[in-house]
Amino acid sequence: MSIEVRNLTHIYNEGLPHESTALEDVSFRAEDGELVGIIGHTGSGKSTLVQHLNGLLKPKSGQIIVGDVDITAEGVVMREIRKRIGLVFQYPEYQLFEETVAKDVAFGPANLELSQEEIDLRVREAIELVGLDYDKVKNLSPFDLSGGQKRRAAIAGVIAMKPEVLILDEPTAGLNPKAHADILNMIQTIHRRENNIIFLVSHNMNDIARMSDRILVMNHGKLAMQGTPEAVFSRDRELKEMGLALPDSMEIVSRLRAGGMEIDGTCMTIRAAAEEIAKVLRA
Amino acid sequence: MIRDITLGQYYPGGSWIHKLDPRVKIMATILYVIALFIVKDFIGFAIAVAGLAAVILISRVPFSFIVRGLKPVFLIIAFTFIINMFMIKGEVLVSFWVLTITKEGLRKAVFMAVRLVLLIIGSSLLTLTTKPISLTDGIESLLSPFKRFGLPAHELAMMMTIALRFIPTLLEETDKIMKAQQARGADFESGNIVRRAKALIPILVPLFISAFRIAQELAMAMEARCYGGNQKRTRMNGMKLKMRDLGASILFVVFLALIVLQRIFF
Repeated sequence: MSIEVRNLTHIYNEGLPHESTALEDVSFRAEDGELVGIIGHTGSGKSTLVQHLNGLLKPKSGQIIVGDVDITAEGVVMREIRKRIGLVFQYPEYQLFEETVAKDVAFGPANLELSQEEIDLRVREAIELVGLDYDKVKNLSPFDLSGGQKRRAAIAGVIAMKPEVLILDEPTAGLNPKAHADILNMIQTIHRRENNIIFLVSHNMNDIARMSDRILVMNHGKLAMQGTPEAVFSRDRELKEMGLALPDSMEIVSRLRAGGMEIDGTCMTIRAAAEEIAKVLRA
Repeated sequence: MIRDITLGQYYPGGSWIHKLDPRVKIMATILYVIALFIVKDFIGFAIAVAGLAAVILISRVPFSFIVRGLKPVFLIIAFTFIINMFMIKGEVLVSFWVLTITKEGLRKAVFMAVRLVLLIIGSSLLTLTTKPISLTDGIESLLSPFKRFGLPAHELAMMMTIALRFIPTLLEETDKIMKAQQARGADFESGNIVRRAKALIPILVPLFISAFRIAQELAMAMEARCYGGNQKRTRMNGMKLKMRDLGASILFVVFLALIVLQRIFF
């Protein structure tokens, strides 16, 4: 499966005095098994973009082709799209509503009109996949869980729909460091297991650099860059002009280089940077 | 889709009308509404329409935007029109089956419809040209003489300010929750009434929880800044009547006088 976006343009409040162009001529493509990071300053159009991928917003012009279906065409069955593309919003715990965790996770699969056995199976699987203990939490009220657990339960609600494309909009916002690391590990586990396409929107450059196969950089509604983490983060001056930072590892290496150390450096993790520095020091 | 509702909305602008003191605008609106009930014939309405048209032109709010706010009340206007048209006895114009339209009935129907439309446009101009915050400031100031009889003017105004302030926030919240549940396959648009009502639960539960959370956070933030009700509070931007407010008041009095004189002498 693949997802392809062609010349996507979206305008909010068209025709009103406060109209604004949120997306302008955005095109890209992602294939099975890819983890694509999306970065950009606040208001650069990231959230608008991911809502289009799920069919929640209709573009002014342009197409989104999932597999061989154009989801922007008239008369597309939205349920089919949502079966294939799962979207986890920012602060997804605010969407929990059922009496028990198991019922809440079952909401999505039940909307897909699956059989009861299939629903139960998927609920159990999804809750375990996000790292919660199914037998412990299934009968708890979702509002009795801790912050990090609520977030996991909410993500399980989307994963239980088994989407071929999973989009996560800042899944770690507002979490403590431990829950942050746990959520990212969970995303990698899901990715490895399902071999699906994952879009990860984040402000944390370290996470993006470490996890992404490819990065999309949004700026003022336009796709400013796309490429591997190495390619994108080596254009540090342009990134800084857009108000974006480098991952810590690249920042260290580039400052050492500015200070005169002859270091070759596209290090996406702190470990890689440390090894590179050690190599230079030994020589 | 929820954002299409324009009734009670503010239309940003810098016109002369926008800049008027809110107290002047509130009083003028109340008096205008009363004036519409003084009027008893179409000549009077012509004066009222002319006055309103002048205000709309000066305010530079697009007429189409005002009309959009009329849509929700269109049914009520149509209903009154039809009831009046058929129910009033008099000289018969047309008659079919059990229904008859009389000359008096038609006149009355048009009369009431015009009055309703003017009422709604007139009062919506107040909210269209006044920021909600200055509106409540104006109300507080106008109500403050009644404080000595125990009316909690400041508290009432603060409650209104907060309620108005949170309408867009809650709309945004609703929009977000609806999208999140739609992403989980929720369907709000099909099925019978029972099914649709059930489909609202996944929106309403998170919305209420959000509303309580927001209220609590706001209360804490206000307490953290030592908010203490109406104990000798002063204002950063006190309201002062300016020359243009005096001018507007004089023009409005002239307008009222015209309406009253027309009623007495014609």
